[in-house]
Amino acid sequence: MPELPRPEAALPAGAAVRFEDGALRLTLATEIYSIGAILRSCYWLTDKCYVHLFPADDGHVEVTLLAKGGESSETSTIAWELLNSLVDNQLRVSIQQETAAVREMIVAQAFSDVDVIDDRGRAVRQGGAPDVDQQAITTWRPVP
Amino acid sequence: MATSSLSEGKVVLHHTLYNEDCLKAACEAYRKFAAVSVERGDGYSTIAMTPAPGAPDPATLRREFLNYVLDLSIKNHLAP
Repeated sequence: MPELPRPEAALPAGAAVRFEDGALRLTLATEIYSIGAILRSCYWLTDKCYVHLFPADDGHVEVTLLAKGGESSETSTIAWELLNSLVDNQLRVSIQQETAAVREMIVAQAFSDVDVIDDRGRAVRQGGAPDVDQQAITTWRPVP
Repeated sequence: MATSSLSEGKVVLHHTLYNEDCLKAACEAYRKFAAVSVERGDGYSTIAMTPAPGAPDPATLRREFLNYVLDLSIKNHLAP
């Protein structure tokens, strides 16, 4: 497998900064990657590297990474993994947000005694009393 | 070239990213290995650690602490 380029050389200027201890700092825009996605991605890397998160002033989060082995090249590989993982996790977060209402409705239906969605998956109007046949209530009918 | 925040003596943890309760729990857990001092600022805490005898070197201890508190914060963030 060909060696990956160093993130500080390949990414836009300022997006990745290398330090003398071999650590790499990535600056991520929260407009693109939510805090939830950043946290999830970092969580999966804590077995391979040390991570420090710091909020920058202008809607950015700085993620500083250092491979546990201390190797600069290993840190670079982990940084590329993090960037791919961020895309994956951001997509999951977006899908979760987009489908939240549907999932809530399905769970509500599963635990409900009455229908909250109809046969076609449309929400049934809640709060309104069902139509009542007044005559049926007042007219006595003997049980056959 | 400067050193990274992972190699500095004190580390700043913002409460927007690191939950304050998780930070307290992590400090409590690490008191076995180090003297942990916490300075609270407006929305952040500054952590300094002095390792106990026999504990790993200060940089490793600090980095392991960072991963530990991040782990707790993420679990807290993802909890329903």
